[in-house]
Amino acid sequence: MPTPPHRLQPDTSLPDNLAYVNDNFDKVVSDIGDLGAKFSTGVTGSCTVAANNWFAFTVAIQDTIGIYVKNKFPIGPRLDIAVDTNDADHYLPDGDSVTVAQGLTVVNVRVSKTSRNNFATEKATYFVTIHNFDVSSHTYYISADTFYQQSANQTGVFR
Amino acid sequence: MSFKVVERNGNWGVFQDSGDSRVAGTEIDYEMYRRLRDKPHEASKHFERGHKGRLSLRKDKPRR
Repeated sequence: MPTPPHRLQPDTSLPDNLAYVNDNFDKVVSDIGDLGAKFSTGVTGSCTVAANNWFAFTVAIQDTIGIYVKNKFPIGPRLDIAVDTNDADHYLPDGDSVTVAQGLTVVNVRVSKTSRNNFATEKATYFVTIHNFDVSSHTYYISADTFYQQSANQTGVFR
Repeated sequence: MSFKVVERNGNWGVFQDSGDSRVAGTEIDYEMYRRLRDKPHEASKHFERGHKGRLSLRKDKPRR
């Protein structure tokens, strides 16, 4: 029987490293972040939204590689979006929304995932809507970052 | 890295996306992105809906 590697080996597949991943799951999660997966990809921009109007855009995450390990929580891509308020970095899971004050105006941001992500092959597309409830138009600055996070509500099986 | 202009519901936005993420929209150059970054509503002066609803640069000069 071959000896499990002591670290992820270059030019090998995930199944080749499965023993190591299973035995060092927490470290693998940490290494993924160290390799730059966390907050390494993203979109920035700005939009002007008229009074009591909305603006919507889609963010497609091309690299949706996740990891399933037997009896462990899967690691999958998530979206973190921030609008220009004093309370930055609102984490918005799929289907969630947040309402934040920006000066005298109120903006509602809603994120919904429009395609299923199987953590391996599919693109994850998020639909982001910003609703300006104020009586004046406003410009919003947007930052959307993808990162990897362990899911707490499901278990995966990797064979 | 690419730069995009987006129009929805009469509102305008400009975006810069990384190679691993992207926003649906019409590609623009960096100079246009930089110009519109702080005033995206002025994109309406530079772009118009053309064939099949696609955004394209206005052929006439931007309105002042």
